[in-house]
Amino acid sequence: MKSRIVFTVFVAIYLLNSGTLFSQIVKILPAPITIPGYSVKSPYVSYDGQNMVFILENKDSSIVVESQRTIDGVWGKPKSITAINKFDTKPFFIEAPSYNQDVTELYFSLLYDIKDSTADIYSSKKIAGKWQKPVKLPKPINTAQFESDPCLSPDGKTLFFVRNFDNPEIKDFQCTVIYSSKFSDSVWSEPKLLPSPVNSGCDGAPRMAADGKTLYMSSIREEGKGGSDLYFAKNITENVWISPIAIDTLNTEKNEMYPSVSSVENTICLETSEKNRRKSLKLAAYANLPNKFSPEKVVILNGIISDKNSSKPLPARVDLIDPNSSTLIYSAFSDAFDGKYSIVLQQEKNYRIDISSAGYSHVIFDYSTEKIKESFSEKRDFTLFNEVVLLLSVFDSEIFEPLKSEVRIYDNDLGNEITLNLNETGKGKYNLILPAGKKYRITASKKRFEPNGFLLDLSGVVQFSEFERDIELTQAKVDFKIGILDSETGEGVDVELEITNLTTNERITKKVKTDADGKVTVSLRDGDRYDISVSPKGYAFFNTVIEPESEGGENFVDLKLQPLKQETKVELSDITFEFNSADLNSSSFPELERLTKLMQINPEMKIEISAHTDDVGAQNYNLKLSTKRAQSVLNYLIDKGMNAKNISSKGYGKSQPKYLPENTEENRSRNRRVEMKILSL
Amino acid sequence: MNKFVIAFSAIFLALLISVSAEAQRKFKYKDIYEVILTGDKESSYTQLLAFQKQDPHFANTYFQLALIAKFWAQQYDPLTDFPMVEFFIYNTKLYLGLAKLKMLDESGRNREYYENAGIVPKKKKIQTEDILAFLDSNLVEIKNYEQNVTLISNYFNKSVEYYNNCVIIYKQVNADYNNIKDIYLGSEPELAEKLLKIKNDFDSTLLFFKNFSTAIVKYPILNYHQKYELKTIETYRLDGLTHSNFLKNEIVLWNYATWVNEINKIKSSQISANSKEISKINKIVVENLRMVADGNYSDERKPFSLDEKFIYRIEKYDNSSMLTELFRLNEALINFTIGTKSNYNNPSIDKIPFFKRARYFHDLVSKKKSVDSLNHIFEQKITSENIRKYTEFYQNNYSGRTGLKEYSFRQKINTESLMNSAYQNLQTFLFFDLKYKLSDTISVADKSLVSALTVLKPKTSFLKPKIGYITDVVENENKTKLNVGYYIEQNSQISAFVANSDSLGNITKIRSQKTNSNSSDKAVAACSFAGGYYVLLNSNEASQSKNVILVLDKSGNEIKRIKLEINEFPRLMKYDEINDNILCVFGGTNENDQNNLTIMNLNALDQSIVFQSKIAIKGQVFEVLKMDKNFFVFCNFTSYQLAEGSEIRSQAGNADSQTNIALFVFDGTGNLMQNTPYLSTQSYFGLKALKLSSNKINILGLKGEYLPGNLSELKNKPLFYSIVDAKATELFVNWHD
Repeated sequence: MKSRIVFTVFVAIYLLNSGTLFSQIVKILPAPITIPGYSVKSPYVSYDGQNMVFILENKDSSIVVESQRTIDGVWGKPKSITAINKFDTKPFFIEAPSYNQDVTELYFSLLYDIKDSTADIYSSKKIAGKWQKPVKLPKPINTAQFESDPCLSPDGKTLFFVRNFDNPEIKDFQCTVIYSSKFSDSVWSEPKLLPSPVNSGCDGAPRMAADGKTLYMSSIREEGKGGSDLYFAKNITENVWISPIAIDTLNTEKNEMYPSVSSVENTICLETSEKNRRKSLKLAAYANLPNKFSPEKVVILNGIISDKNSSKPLPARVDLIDPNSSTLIYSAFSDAFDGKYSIVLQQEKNYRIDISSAGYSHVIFDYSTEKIKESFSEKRDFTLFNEVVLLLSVFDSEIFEPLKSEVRIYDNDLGNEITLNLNETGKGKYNLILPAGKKYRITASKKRFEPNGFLLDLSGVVQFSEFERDIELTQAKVDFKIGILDSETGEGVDVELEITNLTTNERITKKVKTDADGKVTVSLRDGDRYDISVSPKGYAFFNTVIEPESEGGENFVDLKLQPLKQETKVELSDITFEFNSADLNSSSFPELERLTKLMQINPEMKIEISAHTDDVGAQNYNLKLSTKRAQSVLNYLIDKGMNAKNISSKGYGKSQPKYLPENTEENRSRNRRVEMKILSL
Repeated sequence: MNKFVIAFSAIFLALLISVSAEAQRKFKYKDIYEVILTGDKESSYTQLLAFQKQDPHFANTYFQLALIAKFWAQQYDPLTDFPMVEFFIYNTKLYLGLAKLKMLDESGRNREYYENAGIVPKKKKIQTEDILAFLDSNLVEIKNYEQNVTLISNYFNKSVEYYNNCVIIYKQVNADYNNIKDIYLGSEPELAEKLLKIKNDFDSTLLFFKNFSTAIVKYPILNYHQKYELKTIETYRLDGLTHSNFLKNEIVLWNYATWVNEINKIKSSQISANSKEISKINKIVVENLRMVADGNYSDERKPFSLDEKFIYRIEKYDNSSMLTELFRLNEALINFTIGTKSNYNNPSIDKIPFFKRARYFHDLVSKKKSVDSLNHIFEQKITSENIRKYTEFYQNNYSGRTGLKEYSFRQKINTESLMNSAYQNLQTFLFFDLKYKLSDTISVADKSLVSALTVLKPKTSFLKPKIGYITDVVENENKTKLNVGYYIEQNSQISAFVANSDSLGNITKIRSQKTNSNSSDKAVAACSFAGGYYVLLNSNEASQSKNVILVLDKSGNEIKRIKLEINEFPRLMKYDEINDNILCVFGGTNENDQNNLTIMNLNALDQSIVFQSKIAIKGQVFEVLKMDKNFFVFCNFTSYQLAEGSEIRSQAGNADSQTNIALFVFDGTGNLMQNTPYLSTQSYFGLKALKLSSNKINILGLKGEYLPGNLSELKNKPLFYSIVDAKATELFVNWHD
C-alpha cells in the first residue's frame, strides 16, 4: 500500500515537472506551411482563421509570405509578398508580421542588420488585391531604438509593439517590453509602457485578440516552464489590466512565442522552437484553445458591397456606431477591387452599422451580439444604388385635377437648371431619375397658375430608391364682369346664370342680381374657357363662350337679352350642317337643346325656323337646301317632343342676307345661318 | 484500495490547485506605493489588484484603489461610458467600505501609505480618525456624484432610447408602406398603433430631454449643453430615417409628432370625408344600377354621370386608383344599361325609323365598348395592395377581393348578354325594315295588294305563293306609300306594277307597266321627289335589257320617261333632292348575273349624265351613300379587279355565296378614289349601310353565306355589325376571325 502511494506521488511529480500533466497536444502545421529546411517564424493568423502571414527563412533568405485557406479548409501554398520582400534593394529582414482586423493592412518590423539593435515598424496596405510598398510609421512610434512585434487592436485605434529592454536576470535572450500607442486625429500618441505585471521585464509578441480586450503575448518569467511561454492579460477597462495568466496547457520547456488566436475557430497559432531560439528551427504550430484561455466571443461580419445596377464592387465605408450615443466606434472600408469588407463585433453589445459610398445610398441596420454563445463569422452582402426615382404629381389645389405642367429641376447649390430625362406617365404625372449625392430644387409651373416647388435633398443619407411628391398649383382668378341687359330697354335683368367651365367640365348655376349698371361680377379661373348661358323667362336664351385672361384680356361681356315678343328673331348661331346637306352636325346639339328648353318653358309659343344660305350657287338650289335644313331642325324639335303645330320651317335661300357686303368669306359664312322667329307667344 | 484512491485524489487535487494558471509573483507594497507616487494610475491599479490577491487584508490597498476608482469614475463621460462610471463608482464605494473595515484591524499601522491622499490631520500625524473621516467624506462625495450622474444619465439615455424607438418604428412604417398616401388610406390597427407609439415616444423624447437639460444646468457634466432643433419630415422615405447624435451641442431631431399629427389630420378630415362620400356615391350607383336593370323600356332616364371632382378627390390620395376605375365602370354600366332600356331597343315598338335605331345602336355599341375597356382596366387593378387602401369599403360592399373579381366577371357576362340581346333586336328591326327586299314573295297578308293584283292578273286563284315581288316601297310624310314591283302572269309573263296605298295600307291605285307583250318587265326601285316619284323599270326581251326611269306625279300618273342608255340589270336607285341627281347602279345582264357593276349619276332635270363608272366585280351592290362630295358604294363580293390588273378575292372562298364586303369610293366626277375590302375567312354579307354622321357609317348584314330568297334561313344567321369612318377605316366590328 505504501509503495502504491509513493509510486503515485512520483508519477504525479514527474508529470508535473515534465509539464505533460494537463498539457495539450500542439500540432505542427503541415505542408505547405512547414517546408523542410525552412523556419516558419512569427506566424499570425487572422481573426476569422482564413489568412496567415509569417516569415519563411533559411540560411539564404528570409521573406514574408501569406497563405489562405482553400475551399477544403486546408492552408494553401504560401505566396511571397513581393511588394514587401522587394521594396528595398538593400538587404533587410522582416520580423513579426501581423494583420489588421480585416486583413487590409500588414504591420511588421524591418531591420537592415540582424545584429543591429535598431528596427522600425512598417505598414503596408492592400489595395485592389495587391499589397503596396511599405511605409514606415512616424514618430513617436519609431525611434532610434528597436521597435518590433507590432499589432493593431481590432478597432484600429491602438498599436501594441515592443522595444528592447536589457534584463540582467535573463541570459541568452534579448528581452523586450510591450508598449501601446493610441491613434487619434491622424496622430500616434506617445507610446506608453503597459503596466506591470503585464510587463515583467521580458515580454514580447503582443497580439490583441478580436475581442479588443485579451492580449496574448509571450514572456520569460520566473514562474514559467522554461524558455519563452505564452500568456494572456485582460484589459477590463481602458485603464485596468488583469495580471497575465500563463497558457500552461501549451507552455513547455521550449520556446513558445508569437501567439495569435482565431476567434471563429477558437484555435491558437504560435511559433515553437528549441531553447536556443537563434540557432534552432522555428516551426508554426496550432492547438485548440481551452475556454478559460479564450478571448470573449465575437461576430465577424463580412461580405461584398457592390453597385446595385452594375453589380460592380464598390469602395464603401462601413461605420460601426454606438446606437445609444450615435458615436462612431470605428470604420472599416471595402476594397474597390472586390468590394470585400470585414468587421468585428464584440459580444454583449448593440451596434448600428452604416454602409455608404460617395454618391450612393446608405444601408443602415442594427445588430446585436447580446445573445451570442460562440464566435462565428457571418456573411452579408450589400448593394448600394446611386440613382433614385421621383414620382411627381402636379395638380390643381382647388379641384385636385391633375395638371400638365412645366417641370424644372435645379441644382440647389449651384443654382443652374439640370436637364434630366423627364418621363410623363400620365396627365400631371412625371417620373424623374435623379443621381444621389446632390440637393435639387424641383418646380412646376403652368400658365395662369402660381408656380410651386420643393427641395429634395439627396446629398444626405438615402436609403430608399423611390420617392413620391405632390406639387399643388393654385390657379389665378380673374374678376369677370357680365352685363345682363334687356336689349331693348338696356336695363339689368336678374337671371340664373349657368356657367360651365369647358376646360374642367364643371357646371355652376348661380342666381345673380345685377347692379345698377346691369352688371354682375364673377370670379373665374384665369385662362379657362367658360360657356355662359341664360334662359330667363320672357327672353330668348343667350349663350356665349368667354375666356377670362389676367393678361390683356378685356374680362367683360354683355349679354343682350332679346325679350320674347312676336316677330322677335333669334339667330341660332351654333347650328351647322354637313356640306351640301341638310344633316345636322353634332356640334349643333347644345344649341338645339337650348332651343328645346326655351320651348319647354314657353309651351304656347309658336315659332318659325328659317334657314338661310350665302349667295353662292343657283337660287333654286339654295332655296331647296335651306328648306331642307330648316326642316331638319324642325324634325329634331318634334323628335324631342315639341308640339309640331307650334313649329313651322321655311327656307329662304339667299334672299335674306343679314351680313353685308357679301363679298367676304366671313360674311358669307355668317349668312349661312338658322334663325328662330317668334310668331306668337 | 480506498486509501490509495484517497491519496491519489489528494495529490491530484493538490497539483490541480498548485498548477495555477496565474503568473503570480510576490509584490512588495513599498514598490507599489512607489508606482502610486509616480501618478501612473493604470500601473498602480493593476498592481494594487494583484497585491490585493496576495494580501486581502491590507487596508491601504483598498484605500488607494478607492482613490483611483473615484478619480476614474469622474473621468469617464457618463453620457458615453456610463457603465464604466457605474463600475468605478461601485468600486469606489466598495473599496472605501473595505478600507474602512480593514483600517480598524490595522490599529494605526502603515500610516505612511496615506500621505499621498492629501488628508489634513487634526493633530500632527495622520491618525486613524483622520483617515476614517476622509473615507466618509469621500463616500458622501461619491454617493452625491452617483446620484446626480445617474439621474442625468437616465434622463439622457431615456431621451435617446425613446428617440431611437421613434426612428425604428418609423423605419418599419417606411418598409411596410411604399408611399405616404398608402398611410393616409391605411386603416390597419397595427398602423394606428405604430403611429401612436411614434408620437408618444417622441413626446417622451422631448420630455426626458427637457429633464436632462434642467438637470445638467444644476449639475454640469463636462461641456455638455445640448439644444435641439426640430426638422420637418418633408419627403417620405427620404427624411426621418436617420438617428441623431445627442452628444452634439446642437442636435437635429426629426419632428415625428408633427408628422403623425399631419397624417391624423388628413385622415380625420379629407380621408374621412372621402370615405363617407365614397360610400354615399356607391349607394347611389348601386341603386341606380338596380333600378335601371329592373326597369322597363323608357327614354325618360337621364344619363348618369359622376362628378369629375369626386374622382379627383379620390385620386389625390390614390394614384391610378382601383376605386375610381370601379366607379367609372359602374357609371358606364349604368349608362349602358339605360341604353339597353331605350324604346329604340324595344322589340314591341316597330314604328321607329330604322336610321334612328341605327344611331341609337351605334351609341349603345360605343357604351358597351367603354364598359368592356373599363372592366378590363378595373379587373387588372384588383390587387391586395389596392384593396388595402379601402379594405372596409370593399369588404362591406363587394365581399373583398374574391367578390370584386366575381363582380367584374359577372358584369362582363351580363353586358355581353344584354348586347347580344340588343343585336338580336336590331336584326329583327333590320328584317322588318328590309322586309320587302328580303321577302321572297308578296305576303298573302298584303290583302289589299293581292286583291289589286288580282284585278291586273287574269282571273286565277291568288292564294298560291309566288305571285309576285314588291321590290321597293316609298313612304311619304303622310304615311301614304308607293309600292313597286312585278307580278307573274299565268303564262309566266312578268309585268311591272306601280301601286299607291293610303295611310292604312289600302291600295288606292295600281297600274301595270309592260313594254310589250313579249317583254319581261320589272319595277326595281322607286324614290320620291318634290313633284312625285321616280321609278326605275327594267324590260327584258330576247335577252336584251332596257332601262327606263318613269317620272310619276304624286298620284302615280306618269309624267314622262327617261330612257337610259344602259343594258345591264338595275340594282339600286337613289335620289339626291338637293342636287337633283338620280344615282343608279346596274350590274349583270340579268337579275342572276353577278358580274360587273355600273354606277350612273344622272341629272334629273336635263337627264344629262354627270358620270358613269364601272367596277369589275363579281358580286352585288347593297348600298350607295353620299358622304360629303363622294359616293360610297357598298358591295358583297367574291372577287374584283382593279385598273392596274390586281385582283382582290374574298377570303371566305370561291363560291358566289362565300362573300366578303368591299367599299368603293367615287368622287363627284365618278373617279374611283379608294377601294377597301373588309376581308374575312368567314363568309358574311351586307344588307344595309347607313350614314350615322358626317364621319361614321354603319354597315349591317349577316354572317354566313348569302343565299337569297330564303327569309327564314336568313333569320337564323347572326347579325354582322360594323362601323367605318369616312376614310373607310373599320372602327368597330362585332366579330372577328
